[in-house]
Amino acid sequence: MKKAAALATLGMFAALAAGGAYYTAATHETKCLLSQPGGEMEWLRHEFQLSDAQFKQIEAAHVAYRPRCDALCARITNARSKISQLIAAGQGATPEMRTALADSAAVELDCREAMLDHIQTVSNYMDPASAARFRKMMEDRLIATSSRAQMLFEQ
Amino acid sequence: MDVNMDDDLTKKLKTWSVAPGATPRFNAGVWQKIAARNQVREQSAAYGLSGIIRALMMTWRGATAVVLLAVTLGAAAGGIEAHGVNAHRWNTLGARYADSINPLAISSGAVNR
Repeated sequence: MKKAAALATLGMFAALAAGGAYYTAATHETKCLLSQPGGEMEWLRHEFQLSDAQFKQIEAAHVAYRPRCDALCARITNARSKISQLIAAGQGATPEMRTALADSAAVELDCREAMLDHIQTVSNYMDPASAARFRKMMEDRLIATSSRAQMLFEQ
Repeated sequence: MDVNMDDDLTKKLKTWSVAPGATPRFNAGVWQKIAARNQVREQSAAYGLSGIIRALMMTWRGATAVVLLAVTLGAAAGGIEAHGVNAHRWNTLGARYADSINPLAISSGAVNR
Protein backbone atom coordinates (compact mmCIF):
# COMPACT_ATOMS: atom_id res chain seq x y z
CA MET A 1 0.00 0.00 0.00
CA LYS A 2 2.92 2.33 0.79
CA LYS A 3 4.47 1.58 -2.58
CA ALA A 4 1.19 2.34 -4.33
CA ALA A 5 0.92 5.67 -2.50
CA ALA A 6 4.53 6.52 -3.40
CA LEU A 7 3.86 5.66 -7.04
CA ALA A 8 0.68 7.74 -7.08
CA THR A 9 2.60 10.71 -5.59
CA LEU A 10 5.44 10.29 -8.08
CA GLY A 11 2.92 10.11 -10.92
CA MET A 12 1.18 13.24 -9.70
CA PHE A 13 4.45 15.21 -9.53
CA ALA A 14 5.49 13.88 -12.93
CA ALA A 15 2.14 14.97 -14.38
CA LEU A 16 2.44 18.45 -12.85
CA ALA A 17 6.03 18.84 -14.06
CA ALA A 18 5.15 17.66 -17.57
CA GLY A 19 2.10 19.93 -17.72
CA GLY A 20 4.07 22.92 -16.47
CA ALA A 21 6.96 22.32 -18.85
CA TYR A 22 4.67 21.87 -21.84
CA TYR A 23 2.65 24.98 -20.94
CA THR A 24 5.77 27.12 -20.49
CA ALA A 25 7.29 25.96 -23.79
CA ALA A 26 4.05 26.30 -25.74
CA THR A 27 3.21 29.80 -24.50
CA HIS A 28 6.76 31.21 -24.62
CA GLU A 29 6.42 32.73 -28.11
CA THR A 30 3.14 34.58 -27.50
CA LYS A 31 4.41 35.77 -24.13
CA CYS A 32 7.50 37.29 -25.80
CA LEU A 33 5.42 38.83 -28.60
CA LEU A 34 3.07 40.44 -26.10
CA SER A 35 5.91 41.91 -24.04
CA GLN A 36 8.01 43.25 -26.96
CA PRO A 37 7.11 46.62 -28.59
CA GLY A 38 6.76 45.39 -32.19
CA GLY A 39 4.82 42.25 -31.27
CA GLU A 40 1.80 43.28 -33.31
CA MET A 41 3.88 43.40 -36.52
CA GLU A 42 5.14 39.89 -35.79
CA TRP A 43 1.51 38.88 -35.28
CA LEU A 44 0.76 40.21 -38.77
CA ARG A 45 3.70 38.28 -40.24
CA HIS A 46 2.64 34.98 -38.63
CA GLU A 47 -1.11 35.37 -38.99
CA PHE A 48 -0.93 36.01 -42.74
CA GLN A 49 2.18 33.91 -43.37
CA LEU A 50 4.00 36.79 -45.01
CA SER A 51 7.24 36.20 -46.87
CA ASP A 52 10.26 38.28 -45.86
CA ALA A 53 9.80 40.48 -48.96
CA GLN A 54 6.09 41.03 -48.21
CA PHE A 55 6.84 41.78 -44.58
CA LYS A 56 9.51 44.36 -45.46
CA GLN A 57 7.12 46.16 -47.81
CA ILE A 58 4.35 46.15 -45.20
CA GLU A 59 6.73 47.32 -42.49
CA ALA A 60 7.84 50.22 -44.75
CA ALA A 61 4.20 51.12 -45.40
CA HIS A 62 3.54 51.02 -41.65
CA VAL A 63 6.45 53.41 -40.98
CA ALA A 64 5.32 55.71 -43.82
CA TYR A 65 1.78 55.78 -42.39
CA ARG A 66 2.94 56.85 -38.94
CA PRO A 67 3.38 60.65 -39.62
CA ARG A 68 -0.12 60.78 -41.14
CA CYS A 69 -1.47 58.87 -38.14
CA ASP A 70 0.35 61.16 -35.68
CA ALA A 71 -1.02 64.27 -37.43
CA LEU A 72 -4.54 62.86 -37.17
CA CYS A 73 -3.98 62.06 -33.49
CA ALA A 74 -2.97 65.70 -32.89
CA ARG A 75 -6.08 66.91 -34.74
CA ILE A 76 -8.32 64.61 -32.68
CA THR A 77 -6.73 65.80 -29.44
CA ASN A 78 -7.23 69.45 -30.45
CA ALA A 79 -10.84 68.90 -31.53
CA ARG A 80 -11.67 67.08 -28.31
CA SER A 81 -9.98 69.64 -26.11
CA LYS A 82 -11.90 72.42 -27.88
CA ILE A 83 -15.18 70.60 -27.14
CA SER A 84 -14.13 70.02 -23.51
CA GLN A 85 -13.35 73.74 -23.09
CA LEU A 86 -16.73 74.73 -24.51
CA ILE A 87 -18.53 72.23 -22.28
CA ALA A 88 -16.59 73.53 -19.25
CA ALA A 89 -17.60 77.09 -20.20
CA GLY A 90 -21.22 75.94 -19.93
CA GLN A 91 -22.46 77.74 -23.01
CA GLY A 92 -24.54 74.85 -24.37
CA ALA A 93 -25.18 74.34 -28.09
CA THR A 94 -23.74 77.59 -29.37
CA PRO A 95 -22.63 78.07 -33.00
CA GLU A 96 -19.05 77.76 -31.73
CA MET A 97 -19.88 74.37 -30.18
CA ARG A 98 -21.61 73.32 -33.39
CA THR A 99 -18.41 74.16 -35.32
CA ALA A 100 -16.24 72.27 -32.79
CA LEU A 101 -18.46 69.19 -33.03
CA ALA A 102 -18.41 69.39 -36.82
CA ASP A 103 -14.59 69.65 -36.74
CA SER A 104 -14.40 66.61 -34.44
CA ALA A 105 -16.69 64.61 -36.73
CA ALA A 106 -14.64 65.68 -39.76
CA VAL A 107 -11.40 64.56 -38.08
CA GLU A 108 -12.93 61.18 -37.22
CA LEU A 109 -14.01 60.80 -40.82
CA ASP A 110 -10.47 61.61 -41.96
CA CYS A 111 -9.14 59.03 -39.50
CA ARG A 112 -11.39 56.28 -40.85
CA GLU A 113 -10.45 57.25 -44.40
CA ALA A 114 -6.74 57.13 -43.55
CA MET A 115 -7.14 53.74 -41.87
CA LEU A 116 -9.00 52.33 -44.85
CA ASP A 117 -6.28 53.64 -47.17
CA HIS A 118 -3.60 52.01 -45.05
CA ILE A 119 -5.51 48.72 -44.81
CA GLN A 120 -5.82 48.73 -48.60
CA THR A 121 -2.10 49.50 -48.99
CA VAL A 122 -1.10 46.67 -46.65
CA SER A 123 -3.46 44.19 -48.28
CA ASN A 124 -1.99 45.04 -51.70
CA TYR A 125 1.25 43.35 -50.59
CA MET A 126 -0.53 40.12 -49.61
CA ASP A 127 -1.75 37.26 -51.74
CA PRO A 128 -5.47 37.62 -52.68
CA ALA A 129 -6.85 35.17 -50.10
CA SER A 130 -4.81 36.66 -47.23
CA ALA A 131 -5.67 40.19 -48.41
CA ALA A 132 -9.41 39.46 -48.30
CA ARG A 133 -9.08 37.86 -44.84
CA PHE A 134 -6.96 40.80 -43.60
CA ARG A 135 -9.50 43.38 -44.84
CA LYS A 136 -12.37 41.47 -43.22
CA MET A 137 -10.49 41.09 -39.94
CA MET A 138 -9.51 44.76 -39.84
CA GLU A 139 -13.02 45.86 -40.72
CA ASP A 140 -14.38 43.89 -37.73
CA ARG A 141 -11.67 45.10 -35.38
CA LEU A 142 -11.71 48.72 -36.48
CA ILE A 143 -15.45 48.99 -36.10
CA ALA A 144 -15.03 47.55 -32.58
CA THR A 145 -12.10 49.82 -31.68
CA SER A 146 -13.80 52.90 -33.09
CA SER A 147 -16.76 52.17 -30.83
CA ARG A 148 -14.39 51.58 -27.92
CA ALA A 149 -12.56 54.85 -28.62
CA GLN A 150 -15.88 56.64 -28.73
CA MET A 151 -16.80 55.10 -25.36
CA LEU A 152 -13.45 56.16 -23.84
CA PHE A 153 -13.91 59.66 -25.21
CA GLU A 154 -17.41 59.88 -23.77
CA GLN A 155 -16.19 58.86 -20.29
CA MET B 1 -47.31 -23.58 51.97
CA ASP B 2 -44.16 -25.20 53.27
CA VAL B 3 -41.42 -22.63 53.93
CA ASN B 4 -38.62 -25.14 53.16
CA MET B 5 -40.13 -25.90 49.76
CA ASP B 6 -40.11 -22.18 48.96
CA ASP B 7 -36.39 -21.98 49.82
CA ASP B 8 -35.58 -24.95 47.58
CA LEU B 9 -37.49 -23.43 44.73
CA THR B 10 -35.70 -20.09 45.16
CA LYS B 11 -32.28 -21.78 45.18
CA LYS B 12 -33.11 -23.74 42.03
CA LEU B 13 -34.34 -20.65 40.25
CA LYS B 14 -31.13 -18.82 41.18
CA THR B 15 -28.96 -21.53 39.68
CA TRP B 16 -30.82 -21.46 36.38
CA SER B 17 -29.18 -19.67 33.55
CA VAL B 18 -30.29 -19.36 29.98
CA ALA B 19 -27.69 -20.16 27.38
CA PRO B 20 -29.33 -19.65 23.98
CA GLY B 21 -27.54 -21.69 21.33
CA ALA B 22 -26.63 -20.23 17.96
CA THR B 23 -29.14 -20.73 15.23
CA PRO B 24 -28.19 -23.47 12.81
CA ARG B 25 -27.55 -20.90 9.95
CA PHE B 26 -25.71 -18.35 12.15
CA ASN B 27 -22.21 -18.77 10.62
CA ALA B 28 -23.51 -18.85 7.08
CA GLY B 29 -25.45 -15.61 7.69
CA VAL B 30 -22.37 -13.82 9.02
CA TRP B 31 -20.28 -14.91 6.06
CA GLN B 32 -22.99 -13.81 3.67
CA LYS B 33 -23.03 -10.31 5.24
CA ILE B 34 -19.20 -10.06 5.01
CA ALA B 35 -19.28 -11.16 1.37
CA ALA B 36 -21.97 -8.60 0.50
CA ARG B 37 -19.99 -5.79 2.17
CA ASN B 38 -16.78 -6.79 0.35
CA GLN B 39 -18.64 -6.86 -2.96
CA VAL B 40 -19.88 -3.29 -2.47
CA ARG B 41 -16.34 -2.15 -1.57
CA GLU B 42 -14.79 -3.89 -4.56
CA GLN B 43 -17.29 -2.25 -6.90
CA SER B 44 -16.26 1.28 -5.81
CA ALA B 45 -14.08 3.24 -8.28
CA ALA B 46 -11.44 4.12 -5.68
CA TYR B 47 -10.97 0.48 -4.73
CA GLY B 48 -10.77 -0.45 -8.41
CA LEU B 49 -8.16 2.21 -9.10
CA SER B 50 -6.07 1.31 -6.09
CA GLY B 51 -6.37 -2.32 -7.14
CA ILE B 52 -5.06 -1.49 -10.61
CA ILE B 53 -2.19 0.57 -9.14
CA ARG B 54 -1.33 -2.24 -6.74
CA ALA B 55 -1.38 -4.72 -9.60
CA LEU B 56 0.85 -2.48 -11.73
CA MET B 57 3.20 -1.99 -8.77
CA MET B 58 4.07 -5.63 -8.92
CA THR B 59 6.44 -5.01 -11.86
CA TRP B 60 8.84 -2.24 -12.86
CA ARG B 61 7.17 -2.15 -16.26
CA GLY B 62 3.82 -1.49 -14.65
CA ALA B 63 5.20 1.28 -12.42
CA THR B 64 6.94 2.90 -15.41
CA ALA B 65 3.71 2.71 -17.39
CA VAL B 66 1.83 4.52 -14.58
CA VAL B 67 4.40 7.32 -14.48
CA LEU B 68 4.47 7.62 -18.29
CA LEU B 69 0.68 7.76 -18.38
CA ALA B 70 0.74 10.52 -15.74
CA VAL B 71 3.35 12.45 -17.75
CA THR B 72 1.26 12.11 -20.92
CA LEU B 73 -1.92 13.23 -19.19
CA GLY B 74 -0.08 16.14 -17.53
CA ALA B 75 1.43 17.25 -20.84
CA ALA B 76 -1.98 16.98 -22.51
CA ALA B 77 -3.55 19.14 -19.80
CA GLY B 78 -0.70 21.67 -20.16
CA GLY B 79 -1.22 21.65 -23.93
CA ILE B 80 -4.96 22.32 -23.64
CA GLU B 81 -4.35 25.19 -21.20
CA ALA B 82 -1.58 26.62 -23.40
CA HIS B 83 -3.84 26.46 -26.46
CA GLY B 84 -6.46 28.61 -24.73
CA VAL B 85 -3.89 31.12 -23.46
CA ASN B 86 -2.20 31.36 -26.88
CA ALA B 87 -5.53 31.93 -28.63
CA HIS B 88 -6.32 34.75 -26.20
CA ARG B 89 -2.88 36.33 -26.55
CA TRP B 90 -3.01 36.01 -30.34
CA ASN B 91 -6.34 37.81 -30.33
CA THR B 92 -4.85 40.54 -28.13
CA LEU B 93 -1.95 40.99 -30.56
CA GLY B 94 -4.39 41.31 -33.45
CA ALA B 95 -6.32 43.96 -31.53
CA ARG B 96 -3.02 45.72 -30.78
CA TYR B 97 -2.16 45.82 -34.49
CA ALA B 98 -5.60 47.21 -35.35
CA ASP B 99 -5.20 49.85 -32.63
CA SER B 100 -1.71 50.75 -33.87
CA ILE B 101 -3.14 51.95 -37.19
CA ASN B 102 -6.18 53.58 -35.65
CA PRO B 103 -5.67 57.26 -34.68
CA LEU B 104 -8.96 57.23 -32.75
CA ALA B 105 -7.72 54.41 -30.52
CA ILE B 106 -4.25 55.96 -30.17
CA SER B 107 -5.54 59.40 -29.17
CA SER B 108 -7.95 57.81 -26.66
CA GLY B 109 -4.99 56.26 -24.82
CA ALA B 110 -6.00 52.71 -25.77
CA VAL B 111 -2.56 52.16 -27.36
CA ASN B 112 0.90 52.41 -25.81
CA ARG B 113 3.40 53.57 -28.41
